[in-house]
Amino acid sequence: MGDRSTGTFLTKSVTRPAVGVDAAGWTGTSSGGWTSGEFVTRNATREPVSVDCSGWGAGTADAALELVVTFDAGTPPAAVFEHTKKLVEAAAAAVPDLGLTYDFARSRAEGDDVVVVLTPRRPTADARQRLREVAEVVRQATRVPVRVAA
Amino acid sequence: MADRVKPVVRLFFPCDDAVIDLADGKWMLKNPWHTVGMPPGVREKFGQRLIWLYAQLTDGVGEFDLTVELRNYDTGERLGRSKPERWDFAGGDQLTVHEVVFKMENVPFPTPGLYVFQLMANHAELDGGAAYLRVYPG
Repeated sequence: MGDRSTGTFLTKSVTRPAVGVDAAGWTGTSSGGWTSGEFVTRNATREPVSVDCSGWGAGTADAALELVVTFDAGTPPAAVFEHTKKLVEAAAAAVPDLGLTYDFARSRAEGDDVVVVLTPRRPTADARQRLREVAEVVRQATRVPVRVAA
Repeated sequence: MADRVKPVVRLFFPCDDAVIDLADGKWMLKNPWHTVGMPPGVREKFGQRLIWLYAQLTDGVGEFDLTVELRNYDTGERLGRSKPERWDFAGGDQLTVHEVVFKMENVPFPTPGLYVFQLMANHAELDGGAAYLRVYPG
């Protein structure tokens, strides 16, 4: 796991014996016709599913392209969509081999801006540098703020 | 009636340990978590050797690929997703409790913060399928 520390979480719990509650006299139980016994549960049980997470989080250092898009409040939604779509298509077409795709998890709103994040589906060793070049091209062509994020 | 209905997650949480009692075939769970701390001196990049995730699902109909994701709640970043585990929920048997237990090894927590284990079925989030874990620095 690289330079990660590994070990075991610490938990702080205060443990006591179970609190005993005899509900025999609770409201409504004095009338007749009650049946006492054990609940029946119907459970479908299997062996646990093993998951090795060693490779997880490795993508945190992956480069991504961030398109920061701002519109006037009066801009029609169709124009917003069309402009954003063109931006995304232009960026993706500039480096088709990287397979830039819309990143649902990292795309977000920042204040009144929309940050569209495109992540390489097929990252290469020089992906970061190539994204910087794409960012510059898109920035100059559209005047839209574009940045390369880790 | 629909031939496929997403299951509903009734219980879902991480814990220290999960063991099947061979006497009756039931799960025994130890020390459920909502807040944990990294070991003393560790303040980032911590890999938890073992986490057990226990879930109870009902109301499903059809076959589903169950997966679990780990996300950083604050950034929305997805840290990983387990391989699909095919699960069959028989029609007409929606009251049966399906117990799904994930044995998660080497789970990364890059920084202290709030994390979410999200249970998914066929890539869709399941209702009730979010378990939150607050991680403090050591």
